[in-house]
Amino acid sequence: MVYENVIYTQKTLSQRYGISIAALQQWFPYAGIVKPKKRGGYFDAAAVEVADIFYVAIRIRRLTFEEYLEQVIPAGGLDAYLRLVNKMTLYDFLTKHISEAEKNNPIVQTVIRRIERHEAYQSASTTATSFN
Amino acid sequence: MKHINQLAQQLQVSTEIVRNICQLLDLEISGNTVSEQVESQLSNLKTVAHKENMSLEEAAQHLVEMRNSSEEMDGRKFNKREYIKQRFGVDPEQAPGDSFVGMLYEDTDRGIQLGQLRHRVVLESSTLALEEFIFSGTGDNLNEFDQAQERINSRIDNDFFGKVNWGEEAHPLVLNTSTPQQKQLKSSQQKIKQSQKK
Repeated sequence: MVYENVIYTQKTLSQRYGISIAALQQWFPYAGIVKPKKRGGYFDAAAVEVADIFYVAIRIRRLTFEEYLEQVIPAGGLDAYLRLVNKMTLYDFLTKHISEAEKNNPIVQTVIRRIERHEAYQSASTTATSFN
Repeated sequence: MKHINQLAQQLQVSTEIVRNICQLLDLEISGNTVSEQVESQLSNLKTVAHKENMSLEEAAQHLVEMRNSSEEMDGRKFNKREYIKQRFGVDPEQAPGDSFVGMLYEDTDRGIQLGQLRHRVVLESSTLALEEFIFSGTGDNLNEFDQAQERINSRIDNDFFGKVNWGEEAHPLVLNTSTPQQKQLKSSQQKIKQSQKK
């Protein structure tokens, strides 16, 4: 079970995605995550959101790290990329076009909830979903 | 602090372009992160670029050009060397110190001081004159002064400054000789050689 209000260290964040710390660290230069300077330091909330999006991009949308860097980032985020390439929003992709098993993935659930919440409040944060 | 990839995503360009632009505009990237200041500068640039319908790179290029041209505007200061060269057709740095141009060149320092003094005097006297006019009206003794001024000016113009190039273009002496600068260089080289022999 993934709790959204939990803050993460490198160890707990790697556990969240079911990967090793070393594997998580390989994400950073591609996803664009600033890792905590201290051992055992915590990520900020934005970094966790970015990591979630990156997880969805590589596992659910099945992009390579390079594709993420070279296509998703210049497009302006995963949502913008999907609109551009697949003619659908990230929300539609996650709620309508993936398998049941993937829909039940806790990370996917979190991202979906985050988009819903964002649309409900129209917050001005600069997450990947805030671009139209 | 923000990761450069996140900034790239926000600006909807590739990471490479962000790096190029930062380099172009002398914005600091420490490792893979940028400060909030840089972030806001680039997002402002993005807004402007979007409004002007140009790419972020074009906008950055444009900004650099604007910076350069404003530097040129600042650089249009009074340059005594260029001034003497333009007026008399001789580079004062290469003219002997006891020559006419050399002496004039030294006089330019005093000229600049005089200019500053004059500026203050003009300001002060105009203020005083204005005060005088306001309280007692205009005086009528200006004619004699004007005539004397005229006489002095015409003498200077005809006897001395007739040969001075008061225009903005290069001095006729310089124009007549086809490659004056090369000549000067050669002659100075010869001088150096001669002095070395001695």
